[in-house]
Amino acid sequence: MTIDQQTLQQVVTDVCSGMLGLEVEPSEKDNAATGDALSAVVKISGGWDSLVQVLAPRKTAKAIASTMFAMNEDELTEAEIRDAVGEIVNMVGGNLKGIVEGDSSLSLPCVGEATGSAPFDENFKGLEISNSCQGDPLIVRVFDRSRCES
Amino acid sequence: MKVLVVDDSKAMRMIVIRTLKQAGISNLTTIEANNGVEALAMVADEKPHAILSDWNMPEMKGIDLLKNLRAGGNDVLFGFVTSECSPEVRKEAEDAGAKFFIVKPFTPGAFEAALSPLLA
Repeated sequence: MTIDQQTLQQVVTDVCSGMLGLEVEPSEKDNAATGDALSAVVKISGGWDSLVQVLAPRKTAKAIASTMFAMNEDELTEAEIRDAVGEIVNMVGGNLKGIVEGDSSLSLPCVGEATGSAPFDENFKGLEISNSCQGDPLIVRVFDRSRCES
Repeated sequence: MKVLVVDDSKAMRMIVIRTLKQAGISNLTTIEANNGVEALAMVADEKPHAILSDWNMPEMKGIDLLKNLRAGGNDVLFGFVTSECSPEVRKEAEDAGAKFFIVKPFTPGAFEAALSPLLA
């Protein structure tokens, strides 16, 4: 099975709403989301060769971390905010990997400032969904390297 | 009941512990480790009744923690709480002696279903 927009949306909803109780719903893409934002990426290697990115503006990232740690946003450290966003991409990537047939491995999440570097730049050509998470933007992207490298 | 929660994500350790409490595990005490190496070092002194471990972690993965414990003759109740959900990973966990496998995202009901029969 390949991953389409609907499947990706379902996984993101299951992770964010089903488990964490965050208010998440599909939305129009907000270009401001790619500004001052955190990028969390996991690499899937083997049968399905892909990168999965969660792109969260700082406001969204803090709201996610606040829910996960059950703490006020102003009490959170930078490490805790990054940990929370990293765990979101870990869960999304792990679930997507389980849907696609074939034996693949999942990397640890890599979290940093969103720099807009390839393949996750303005020319991104993979699968992308835009959501409103607690009222703020949350973008999730899948870059299938076997399909997109050409 | 003393439960060792092993995950490199502090956020996930907190969520797992919260969910254990919601699942109604009686007399629950929790201790935490950041990876398999830390967990292995804690087990001898802390003697947990159960270990809930992530799969992917730096230093030592959850499956290697389980294999190390079993190789050392420790048969502590061990289960995975992980976003890894492929049949291959489940089989490897079962073959190594894991008693349950909870996939993230999870609910308190998933913890109850996995743990209750083992704690009866």
